[in-house]
Amino acid sequence: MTPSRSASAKTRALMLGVVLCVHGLMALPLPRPVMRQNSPDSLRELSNWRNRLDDAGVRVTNDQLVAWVRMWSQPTLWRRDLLTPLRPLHDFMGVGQGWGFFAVPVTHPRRLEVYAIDGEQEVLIYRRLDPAHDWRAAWFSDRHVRGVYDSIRGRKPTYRRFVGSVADMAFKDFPDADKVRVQLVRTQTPDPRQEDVYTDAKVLMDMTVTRPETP
Amino acid sequence: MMHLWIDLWDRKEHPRTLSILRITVALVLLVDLMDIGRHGLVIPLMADTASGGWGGSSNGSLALWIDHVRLPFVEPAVGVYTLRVFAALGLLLGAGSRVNALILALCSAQAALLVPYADRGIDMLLRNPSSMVACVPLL
Repeated sequence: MTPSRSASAKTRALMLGVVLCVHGLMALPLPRPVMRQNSPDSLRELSNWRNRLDDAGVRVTNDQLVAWVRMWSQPTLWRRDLLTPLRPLHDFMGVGQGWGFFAVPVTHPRRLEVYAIDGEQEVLIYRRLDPAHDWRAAWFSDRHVRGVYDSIRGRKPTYRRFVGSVADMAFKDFPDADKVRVQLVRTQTPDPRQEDVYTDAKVLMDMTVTRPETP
Repeated sequence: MMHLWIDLWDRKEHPRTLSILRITVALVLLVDLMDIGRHGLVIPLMADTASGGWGGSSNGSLALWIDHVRLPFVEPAVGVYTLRVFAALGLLLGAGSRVNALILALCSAQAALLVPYADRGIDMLLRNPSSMVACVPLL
């Protein structure tokens, strides 16, 4: 005889089913929608993939490959549309999955640099992962702080306020400094044979804060 | 298939398993909160922008209610931080576990809305078991 299942058991199973489906959809490692296909990185990737496919005996042109990639990135847009109605609930409970699992490796890690400027003299006081310049390294490596400069795009107000906090601390610790410069550098994950991570380094953001005058 | 699914979720966890989950989540949250305090990040991460918080793009979101909480005697951010520390302590000791777990999950979600860039994957992963502990019938 089949045991009868209570209404609460059925409701719980239904709710968990919905929750797991939604989170499963959010966590799917779907590719980002392809927006720029002419950047140097995209062209290099396209050329690598075309060569690999050539080696495997599959002949494709660049345009065909771009069309395939665009087609495979479409589900990312469908996912966004599907999940939009649930956004307020996810915001309120803070359970919205913000990233797909292992979808995109970091090819261009960022390094933060802080300089104390005293007149003409500029001294590097902090550089991420550099033991020789480790002023307040524990603070900068805190995962909450790291998130602010690791993932931010553009000169957002959050980043400006973060730079203000860095400058306040630096002015306190370096009483002779009259300016503090905070620079975010985009490096490239090096080839295993390459030692210098600063090859192709690019300054993403560079802000200088002047010491406020004391009354 | 449907019955298998219902039966899968209709089992009771052993109290020891739930206690291990509760204590582990509470300890991790408590250590994290201590780190936030030690690094002087209470105001940057939990205050609104007018009070020195780093703020973020979600300011003005309808889901953001913590901005409107006014506590007597203390700065709102310090009050929320203290509330979170006491909630983590309560969860660790097993006092008012469900209420404390709910407080921790909701306050953490608010911090995520205030400064989204400072909210990492692990914070979200910790909110899930906190919400779960809040729904457990008895701990």
